[in-house]
Amino acid sequence: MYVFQTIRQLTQFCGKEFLKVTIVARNHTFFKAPLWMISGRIAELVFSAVLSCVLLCVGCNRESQGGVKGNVRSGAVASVTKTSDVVTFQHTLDGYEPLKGVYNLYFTYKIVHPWWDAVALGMEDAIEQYSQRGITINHVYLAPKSVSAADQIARIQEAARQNYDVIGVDVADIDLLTPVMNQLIDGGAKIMTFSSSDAPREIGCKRIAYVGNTHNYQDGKALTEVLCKKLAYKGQVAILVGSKGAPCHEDRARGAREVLSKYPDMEIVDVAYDEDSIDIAYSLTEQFLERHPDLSGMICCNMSNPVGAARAVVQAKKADRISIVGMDHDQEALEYLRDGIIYALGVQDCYAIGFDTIQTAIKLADGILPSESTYPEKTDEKTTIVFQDGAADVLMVLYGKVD
Amino acid sequence: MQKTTKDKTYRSAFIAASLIIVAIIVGATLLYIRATNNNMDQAVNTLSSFYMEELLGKREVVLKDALNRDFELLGRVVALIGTKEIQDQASLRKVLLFSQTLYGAKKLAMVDEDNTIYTAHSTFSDASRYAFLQKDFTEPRIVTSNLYGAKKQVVLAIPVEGIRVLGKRIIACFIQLDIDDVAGSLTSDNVNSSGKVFIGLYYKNGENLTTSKFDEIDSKQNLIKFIQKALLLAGQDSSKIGTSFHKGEKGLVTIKSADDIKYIYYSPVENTDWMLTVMVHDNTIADQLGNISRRILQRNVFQLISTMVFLIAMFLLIGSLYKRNGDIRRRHQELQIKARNEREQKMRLEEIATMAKAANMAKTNFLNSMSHDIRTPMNAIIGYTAMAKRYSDNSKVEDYLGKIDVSGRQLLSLVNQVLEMSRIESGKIVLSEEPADLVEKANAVRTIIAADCNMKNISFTIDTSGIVHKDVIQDVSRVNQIISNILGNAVKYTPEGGSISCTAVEKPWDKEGYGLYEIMVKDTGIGMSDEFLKHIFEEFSREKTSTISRIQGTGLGMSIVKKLVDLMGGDIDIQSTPGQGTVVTVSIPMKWDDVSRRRETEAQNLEAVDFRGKRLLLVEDNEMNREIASDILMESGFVVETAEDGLIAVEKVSNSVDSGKPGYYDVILMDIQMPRMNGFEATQAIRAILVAQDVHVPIIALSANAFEEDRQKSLEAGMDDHVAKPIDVQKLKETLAKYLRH
Repeated sequence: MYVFQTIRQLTQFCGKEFLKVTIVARNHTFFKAPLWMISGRIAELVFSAVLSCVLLCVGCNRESQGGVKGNVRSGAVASVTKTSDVVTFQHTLDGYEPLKGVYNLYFTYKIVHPWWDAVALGMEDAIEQYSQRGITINHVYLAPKSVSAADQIARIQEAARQNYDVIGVDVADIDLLTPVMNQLIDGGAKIMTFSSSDAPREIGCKRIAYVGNTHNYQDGKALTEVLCKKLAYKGQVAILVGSKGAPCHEDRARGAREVLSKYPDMEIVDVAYDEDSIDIAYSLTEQFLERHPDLSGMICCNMSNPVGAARAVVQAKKADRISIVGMDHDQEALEYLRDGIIYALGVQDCYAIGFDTIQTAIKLADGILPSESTYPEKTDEKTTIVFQDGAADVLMVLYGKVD
Repeated sequence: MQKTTKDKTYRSAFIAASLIIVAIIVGATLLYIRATNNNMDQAVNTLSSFYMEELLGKREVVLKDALNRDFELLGRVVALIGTKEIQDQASLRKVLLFSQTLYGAKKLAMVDEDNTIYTAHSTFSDASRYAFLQKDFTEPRIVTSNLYGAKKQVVLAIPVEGIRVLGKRIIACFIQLDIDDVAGSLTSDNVNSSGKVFIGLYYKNGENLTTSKFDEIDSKQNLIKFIQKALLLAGQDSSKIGTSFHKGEKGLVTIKSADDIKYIYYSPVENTDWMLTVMVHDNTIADQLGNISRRILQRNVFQLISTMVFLIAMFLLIGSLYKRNGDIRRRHQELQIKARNEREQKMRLEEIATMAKAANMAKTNFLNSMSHDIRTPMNAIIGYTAMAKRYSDNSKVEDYLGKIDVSGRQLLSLVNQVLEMSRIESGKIVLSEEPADLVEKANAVRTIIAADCNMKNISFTIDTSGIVHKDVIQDVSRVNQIISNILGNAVKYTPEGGSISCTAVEKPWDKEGYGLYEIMVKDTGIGMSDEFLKHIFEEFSREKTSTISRIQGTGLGMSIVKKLVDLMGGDIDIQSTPGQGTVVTVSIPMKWDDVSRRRETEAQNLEAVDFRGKRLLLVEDNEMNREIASDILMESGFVVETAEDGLIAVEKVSNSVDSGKPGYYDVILMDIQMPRMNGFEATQAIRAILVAQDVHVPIIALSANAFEEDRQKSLEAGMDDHVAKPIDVQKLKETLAKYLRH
């Protein structure tokens, strides 16, 4: 953009200079005007023209900012190398030019929860950037207070009746939601999935695209591996899953189980569902501690349960004996991580999830389907495992907290 | 020579004085400046806190105003919606969008009881960002919090009642502030050589509210910890800053380092948990104060120079004035002498004027006395002559009596003219404007003049056909006098066989209800020269010709005519050719009379009165006049009693009252000039007696003083009317009839 502006200015400058030369020539015949004046003007004009051409060539060779290309990101789970890589808040819209001036989008997710508040921030920033380009996006982003597939079904059906441009769903229950989504898609609705849970095409869901975590299973495995290593592959472990039926939670738990099953000296002594509630996770952890005095580790599969578990462990004064691994970026959890109560956290880039969801929804609303040349059918957002040494930095990045 | 030396001495003295005073002022100023500089450091320190406090104070006001405006805006938005049930999200969004546009709010939102947030373009659930709005929210609040992404959220919210959306109660309306924008608006743009003033917004725990740096302090650094660390490094006490900040107190921290001193002033922001901070480097303050003191110094120097220039100018001016003082003194003396001379002249003129007045008064008194003293015997001569004629049957005697009568009347006329002139000159003539019939008066004049013309065989015509409004209100006697004088002259100076014409026409005049009456008298007389015409209106002027010398006259006639015409506001023009004749044109404005009303009154007056048996008291000191009047009155039927003077008249009236007959006399005729008690005094005395008895007896003045002002005097004295002597019997009878009718 700047290059083009510069070229334009130079061209204008050249034009003006040329005009000056002609005026000089008109008003002063070559016999009357001093030679130095005319020569000087012509020299300026030639120089400007040459410079313009050079810049033009440079500009053409520059990689175009336009075009529609998919947001391809690696879905690999990685350790922290730079705190700035955990969550990237500096996002700018891709070069896609929306076809309309106004869009109406509807999103519903599993449960009203701070994790989705973080996703919302990414969405709002994307919407704000579209707004600066003159595009208005009206959106609904609602969820029940407790996970309910029925509630989700009712919401998306109502949204379809109201003819929203795109309906986005963070699937609470794949089995229950899939046939409903398929029906609505058959009826002409444009439905995508986003954030934590997908209903993939592989299982027969016709949803058009997904933006979010595609590697919950791998996240569970990676965290569990980290814990096992910490425990020297020996000890009793309890799992707090999260919400029953929530794909992401179940997948992580599944990954955890698979890893633990590899190590014969690692034993799963308890598994429970905390329904994404810190308080429930706290009381469940208390029970674990009572029931299993030799408990040495806990695997927490969502954002809330590591907080509940850590509180209970601290309360029981067993922080030095029990290692906790968990998910996401709760501030309290990060503080526990910083203080060594929690051993590791898998932090998802919620901001990017929200930001990219909007970008995908706009394209979908314009009728553009995912493909090689447009955008990926699954936009995978990263998870980064953070340890104690990175906690302070992550706290600073995510919450501006400084020691 | 002496004067010049003196002036030089004065000048030198003034210059010397000026220089001394200037030197004193300069010296004092320099001492003052030195003293000021010595106290600069102290001033800097003292002023620093004031300066910082002032800097912060202004920004605090700006911030407070901005927050208050936002709260007001929220109030207006809620008021705009009013209390209603909103059926769908679209309607609420529309209102919010409208409000945003109308009030310029960027992020305006409402929250329902389920913590669902509604904005102009979105509806969303929230678990963490606005959860605080669900808890005990009854008053407007400012809430700051850190969000995911290190975002600072500042929300201004007010509780809401009465609005429902989709069946859910709206509990709050809020604006989300961009705190970086707010903080940015407080930052000073004053850049001087050392740097600028830094403004920061912090929580009371020292965390930065914004994402901006506070001078060198990173946005993510805790201010309290920074200051404590800096103070420790400088070996200063750092224990109090933390507590002070947490408590939200105001304070100033000075951090000294090897090459700099930083001043950090902090103050709480009302109704929030924020602290507004300002940081300034020492050299900034010093520079500011230096600038101020430099400006003050410049001003002082300018003032000093101005004062010096002013003083020098003053001294030079005074010197030059003093140099000219001698001239002024001389001039002053001349003026004094002149003034004294003028005063003396004025006194002399006043003396002359007094003498002239006295002489004039003496003349007037003389003439008045003469008037009475001449008129009284004249009255007797004319009266007795008339009576003698009545009883004479000898034709020769009748002839002699006729000539005596004519001469007597001529003499009386002469006296009257002289007196008239005197009165006119004294300004004592008062016009008596009364209704009159001009045509009738003209006819009367015709009768008189015709007789004189017949004697000289002069043809005389009067033409009044040009008069439209013959009934006027004017002192017709004076008009008569004017015309009679002019006609009299025409008759006098027209030889036998000549002709005289008198034409009266009425012309329009500016004033409504008025007409301009032009009377032209044309004769074929001897005429007058142009030279004489220039003096015709002067007193006692007569053309000295052989003809004139044989014709009797005083030379006062035209003077009187001119004065009377001027008094009436008229004009007189004379055209004359010697040997051919003269044309005199007099124009006098007169008011038209409403005749019908007046005739009704006159008709009443004409009703006949029987005087028989009426008792009349005649008060007259002159025996002859008393006898004449008594005879006339007794012939008319009156019972006449007489009194020789005013005192006797009063005694007689008093006696009649004492004898129980206050109305004994039906009428009293009172002379004016009498010995012992004059007519005015007697009238006042009689009135006093009769008023006590509630009786009114008409008292009529009988006086040789025949002028209007005399009549006024009589009326003022308490008399009812005034009749002039010589007595006109008919007029006397009419006057008596007027008062004895009832």
